[in-house]
Amino acid sequence: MNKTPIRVVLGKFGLDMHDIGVKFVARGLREAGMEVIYLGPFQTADTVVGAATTEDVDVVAISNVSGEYMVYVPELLTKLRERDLDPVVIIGGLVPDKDKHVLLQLGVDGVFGQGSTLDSIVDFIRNAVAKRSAVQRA
Amino acid sequence: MSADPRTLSRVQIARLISGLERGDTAASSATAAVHGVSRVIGITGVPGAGKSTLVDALVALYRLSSARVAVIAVDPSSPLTGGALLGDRVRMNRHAADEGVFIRSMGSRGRKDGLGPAVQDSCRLLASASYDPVLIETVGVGQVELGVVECCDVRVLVLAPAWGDYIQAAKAGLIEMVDVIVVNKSDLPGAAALIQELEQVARRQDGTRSVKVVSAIATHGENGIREVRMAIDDAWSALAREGMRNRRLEALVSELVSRVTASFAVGPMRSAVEDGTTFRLAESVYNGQSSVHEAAGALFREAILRSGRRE
Repeated sequence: MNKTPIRVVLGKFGLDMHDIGVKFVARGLREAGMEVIYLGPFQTADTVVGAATTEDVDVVAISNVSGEYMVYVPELLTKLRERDLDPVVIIGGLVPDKDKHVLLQLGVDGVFGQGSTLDSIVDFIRNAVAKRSAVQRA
Repeated sequence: MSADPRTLSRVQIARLISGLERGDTAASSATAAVHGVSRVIGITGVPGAGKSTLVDALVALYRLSSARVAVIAVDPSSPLTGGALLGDRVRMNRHAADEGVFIRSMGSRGRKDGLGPAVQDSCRLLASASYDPVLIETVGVGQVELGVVECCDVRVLVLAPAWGDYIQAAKAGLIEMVDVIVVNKSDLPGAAALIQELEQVARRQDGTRSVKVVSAIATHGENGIREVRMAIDDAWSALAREGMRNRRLEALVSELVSRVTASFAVGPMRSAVEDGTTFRLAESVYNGQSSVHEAAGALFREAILRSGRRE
């Protein structure tokens, strides 16, 4: 295994405790060859940014079924920018289309609502990370 | 790298560590030769013993008197996919917002024994950036963790009263190699018996070394955690008075050997596999044309030749 694995921080904001979906994604990303730094539920923008900093991740992935992402995402994106961090940010879970639109406008890279397949998430991550590092090298 | 490691930002340190994981030579040459004054504490034990919860509690305690505390949490990577579920951090993430705590999760990335150069160099980097202590948490099963604890100044084994941990640890010779044994989850049945058994073994050590057995319930805040910390600090002080030099030298010898063995394996041995040399030798044994010993000798000489060409 010569290729450096993609590193992903994966967690849930706020009080949303439904973690079956996020654990499923964690296992799927691992099977796709990624290093998954699993934070679990009860995260805040500060704890996610703290983890993203020391873990030098390529991706920040948040899962929520309770709409809490709306509360935390703007703060998350601001704090990442403040620290000069630019990981791929994706939100998944129960995300209605109108929220998806808002999240993308805020600067989230990808949104995966109900019915999204693991394959589509993996492909998206691989492409987005490749694009980021091409830009950095340029 | 000319910058004083103590002036590096967390982002810079994190990126350097990534470089070390990738094997970037620039990053490797940036690491200091020794740990210096930082305490490096190795914490191992079987999965489920509660290591991460214990580390979380220890970080909180150490943080009261230390401006910078670091944790390197190592988990196995899948040999098939290269992926890893790095889930130790989940139990310590309350410290994620604390700028004085640096937690890094690392996958074993194909290493089969010991911690490997990336973990060891990252530990040095953090120590030279004034992180003290640096706690290295690893899963230990069987023989593997002997190499794992070797590079640490103070070695802690975490057991829980279930699954015949003691037998495993005794078989692996770990009991003799560690400084502190924590019987975690000591509210579970079997704890008292396990503690008694361990204390008997610890007493039988020759006078020069004794293993401190501590009982704890890591999830319950104060329960035993201060005692664990005291045992660690006492072990450190004892080493500082006598034995630190020997311990660190032994660890460096071991590290030099494994680095060279690894690069020998990666370079010449891998090329011999890739170009079919090894396979042809295997065939000659299979077909009865040569013995295994002859074939191994031929492969060894070929590998030496190739490594000579490399230099």
